[in-house]
Amino acid sequence: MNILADERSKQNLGRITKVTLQNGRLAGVVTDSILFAWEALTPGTQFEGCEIEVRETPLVLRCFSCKHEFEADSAMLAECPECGQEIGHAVVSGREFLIENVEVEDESPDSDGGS
Amino acid sequence: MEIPVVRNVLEANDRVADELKNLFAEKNILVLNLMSSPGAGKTTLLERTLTDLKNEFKMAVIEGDLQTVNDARRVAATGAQAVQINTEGGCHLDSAQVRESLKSLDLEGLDILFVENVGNLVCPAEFDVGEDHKITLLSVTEGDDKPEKYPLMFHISSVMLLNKSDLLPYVDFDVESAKRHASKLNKDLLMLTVSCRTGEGLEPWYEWLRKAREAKKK
Repeated sequence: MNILADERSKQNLGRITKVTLQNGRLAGVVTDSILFAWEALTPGTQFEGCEIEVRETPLVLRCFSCKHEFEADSAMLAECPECGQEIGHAVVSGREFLIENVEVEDESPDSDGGS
Repeated sequence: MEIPVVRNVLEANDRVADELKNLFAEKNILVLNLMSSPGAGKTTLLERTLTDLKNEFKMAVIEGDLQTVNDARRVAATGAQAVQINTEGGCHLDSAQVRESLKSLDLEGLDILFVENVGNLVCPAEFDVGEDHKITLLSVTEGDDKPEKYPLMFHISSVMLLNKSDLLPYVDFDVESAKRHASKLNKDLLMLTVSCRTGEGLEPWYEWLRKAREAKKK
């Protein structure tokens, strides 16, 4: 919410109607908990009524041996589908926990404080 | 209208962690973030290490616990500086808490700072506190499938200490299986079997500490 408030004032944005997050499979954050927290924290703030979407992004590993990139489940213990290597894969993506974008009302009010 | 943001939700933590990294680099202090389940033996490992290496290094400890100052007391009994953070329910330490606790520590001439995290194998892996290395303790009274269950923790650690080896005759812990899975998650992970109660196997840990301390100087 601090980041959203910061972006909103920096870019002089109107009311935020929707926020989209990226939650990687390996980020260790439970999507249901984010949704619950959002619902619990936003009433009475400038984000009251703002919709939230959490996009769960896959865990992608790069094989230690053949460098092939492949999707794995969050358990990380995966054989490379190309060469069978089980050990030492690097995480390409899946640890991210980001605010990806927001949707705002088109008209930006000139002076809108609120927190 | 859609506006791209692309900002890390934990950026506030990362910003302070970077600040701490710079401070520790400037003061040339090796910082180790010690993590495990509750009861795996983090405090006992510290008591041993602080006592055995007392004459080699100047060391200090930041203790993270939900409640009580028991651990800071135990650690301070070795003569090392210790400061306690009570998270009062928080399941991990964050960088702002560590920064705050530094006010109670004298960093001058310090060689090694241990941050004993809250006992938990999940969230502490997500929150950098400015450390050089993450150290994970696993004890043989836990399940040997812990690395499989908590992959991120083992993926990002530099050392895994398998503690309570003196109890191996009495439990069904499969050391080879635990090590195999941990090494699949992290091929560079140094795995050491130790007993912090008897002191068995600790010399390789001390050797690693000496090397890490030396590497930080460069």
